[in-house]
Amino acid sequence: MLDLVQNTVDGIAAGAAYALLAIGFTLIFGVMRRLNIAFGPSIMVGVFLGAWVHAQWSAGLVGAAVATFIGALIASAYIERLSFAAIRGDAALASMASSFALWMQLEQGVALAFPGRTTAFPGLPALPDLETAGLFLRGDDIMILAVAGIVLIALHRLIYHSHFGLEMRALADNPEAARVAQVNTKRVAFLTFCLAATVGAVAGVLIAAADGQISPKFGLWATLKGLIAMMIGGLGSLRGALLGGLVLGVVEAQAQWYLGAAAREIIVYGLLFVCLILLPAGLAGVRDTGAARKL
Amino acid sequence: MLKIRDVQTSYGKIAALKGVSLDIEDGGLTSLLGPNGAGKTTLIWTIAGILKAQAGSMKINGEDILGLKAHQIVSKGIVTVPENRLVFPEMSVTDNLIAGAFSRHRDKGGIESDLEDVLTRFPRLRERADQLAGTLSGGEQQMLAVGRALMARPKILLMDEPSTGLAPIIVEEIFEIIGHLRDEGRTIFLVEQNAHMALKYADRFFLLEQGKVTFSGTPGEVDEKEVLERAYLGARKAG
Amino acid sequence: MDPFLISVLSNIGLFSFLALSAWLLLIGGEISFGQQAYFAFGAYGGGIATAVWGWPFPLALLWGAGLGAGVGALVAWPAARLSGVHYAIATLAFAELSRACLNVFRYQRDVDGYLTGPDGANGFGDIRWVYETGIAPGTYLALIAGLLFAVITAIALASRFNLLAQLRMVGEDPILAGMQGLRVLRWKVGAAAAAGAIAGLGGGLYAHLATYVEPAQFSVMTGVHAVAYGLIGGLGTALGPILGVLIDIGLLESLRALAAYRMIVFGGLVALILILRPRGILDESLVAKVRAWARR
Repeated sequence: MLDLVQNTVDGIAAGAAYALLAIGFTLIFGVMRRLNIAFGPSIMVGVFLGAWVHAQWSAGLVGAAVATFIGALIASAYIERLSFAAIRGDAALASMASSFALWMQLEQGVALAFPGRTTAFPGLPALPDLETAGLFLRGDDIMILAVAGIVLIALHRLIYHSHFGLEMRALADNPEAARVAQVNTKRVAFLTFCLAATVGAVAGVLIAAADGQISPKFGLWATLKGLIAMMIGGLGSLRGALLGGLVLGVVEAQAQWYLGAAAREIIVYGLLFVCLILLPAGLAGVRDTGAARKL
Repeated sequence: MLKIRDVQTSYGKIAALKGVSLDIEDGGLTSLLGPNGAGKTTLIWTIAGILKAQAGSMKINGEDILGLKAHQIVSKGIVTVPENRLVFPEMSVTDNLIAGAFSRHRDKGGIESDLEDVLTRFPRLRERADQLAGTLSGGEQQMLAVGRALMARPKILLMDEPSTGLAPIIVEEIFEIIGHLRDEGRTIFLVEQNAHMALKYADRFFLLEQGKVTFSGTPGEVDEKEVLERAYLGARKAG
Repeated sequence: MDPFLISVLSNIGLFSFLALSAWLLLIGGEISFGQQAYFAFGAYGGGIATAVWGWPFPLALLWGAGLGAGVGALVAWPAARLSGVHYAIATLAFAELSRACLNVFRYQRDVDGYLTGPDGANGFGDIRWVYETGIAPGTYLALIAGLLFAVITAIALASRFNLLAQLRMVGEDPILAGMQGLRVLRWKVGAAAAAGAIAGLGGGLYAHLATYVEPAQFSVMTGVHAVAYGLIGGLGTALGPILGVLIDIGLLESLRALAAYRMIVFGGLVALILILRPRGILDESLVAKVRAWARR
């Protein structure tokens, strides 16, 4: 019983990072109605830039984090310009294929610039571990939960209590109406990408710092986690992304503990498949409002 | 003759059709008018088998068709020209027309000659026969949709707001074509927002308001002004 | 023929099966990131058939294709209500689920004194039928090419009998297609079965050429590549996905000096092509023009 709770606690910390990734995907899909499958790699570029800055100038976690944000922003802008802004509105498939092509570019670019299986990344500041009622909360996990919590609150304020947030929501709900209401859709789309990059960069820094290292596999890994969390939670819903991320983290932790790594994969993908078939609206119950969407 | 009795269709908890009854008689144009949101498209989609009615009955020449799926409805000769999804954009005009004939399982002979007939009826389509349908103008797409429906050798033609989004002069052209079809003796069920044009060509009409049929008659017998008012604005409250 | 060239052409041929498989589903309006799963089932199924059960090669290939078709249809049936991103991720989930299961799948039997068969993550080796029967690489390439040609011919025949057009209708607008009398669910499941068969056939051929397969070879990246080939080469014709494979693998080999930068070059090229031609190089509009010109 204690194991179950402990795993849940551990899982929530990992899940918080997954939730941030899922939110990044959701922001872009919600506003652009297209999937940016190069989201994971764009964060990877940021994280590697952070590692490089640290290696060159011993910049520490703060310096690496700043570099991560900058790298992720540049990579995201690159993708937005080439795969989204440049492709006409109804060609959603083309955007997805194009973002995949850029993923290939970014991944190879990173692998060439940083040969070697892993590269070092500065660690999280040492927070004391918490122990209460037989449960163990690692200092790292406390840090992740705290930072993720702050980001989520800030994001909520931005989206629901700011003018820009209103524009984003308008564009997400009805692009034609938004355009007519004088929302500068191109600018909002671009800024949404930047926002997604920022949120993703936070996730990237947290994950990389918790591990102390990064590898070129990060791009695929982050993409899969983000997509799975987003779909479990309900495509297009921010609440869903949060919920999905936490659920994924907890399910992974429990499966890993009781059944081992191989079974964990089977359970996660099996769960995702069953979820999509039986509950396409996701845990947050997001229903497609019937507008004929093509992707 | 298509008899519709007390049909109820809901979207989840929202009842769109609250007991619709009307007859579509053989030969001639029957029109369904009504304000936005009255449920006109819902009725067409229910007849076409895209939506499932929760109650009521629909019979064509005595045969029950409620609950049949879309492809089964088509095989009964009930062909729909929908609103807003008129063509397959990445297919050519000719391929779009031939697509209309796919439902004719046992009637394959004569597809070529039917194609000729449609292209003769719509010379503009003949001009653009090899073009991708997505590149056609709104009016041409509407013509293509009608032509495609004709290729299915329909017994009843269901038309959902053919005037939508078209310039007035094109609307007149489309309705002239609909008028010709009616003169040829075809059975047409026309759902329209543009009550004025519909009344010009209809043999009889029904008024749908808030999911129920509230009025019916023939254009000659009624006060067109009152009908138009109700069709666009809904019934006026007493007083 | 230069053995290196034979090897490259064989690769192009094998990937073409996978690309055609994904393309067929794209035509039917579904993005599948999971065709690599059916490729894997064909590989494992065909490999087990010859190496463990001692079946003749043609039967093994048929078995692999059949597995691909069967599982493809089975997955498509519940998934058919989904569309767009949901369908794409569902197929990805199934493919990763399959890969994860293959990682723990052990089926080994004593064959002529050696333990033969899949051994989970350690892979499945000794699929030696081709080498035991002494078939030369050139001959095997001819076999791959022949079967690929047969598949393309079958698709061309389907086109001739208006089957492909009906699938396209289902793909472009399922509701409108239903209004024309098409049984949308049947078409979706049928297309998935055919696509699964094509991928399975390719997988069986691959296993016997490579003699060793392991679950890691059938990754998400492979699957997304398969879809990308069709989107780049063009959705208008079955030659589209093959063109996509040619551009990628052909580019790799011809730019050997730039081999380290292959993905950077290929990625950039694809992004640029898609800006100009969002439905690929050989898109529907080009094919329509060619057809009109040929009719004259």
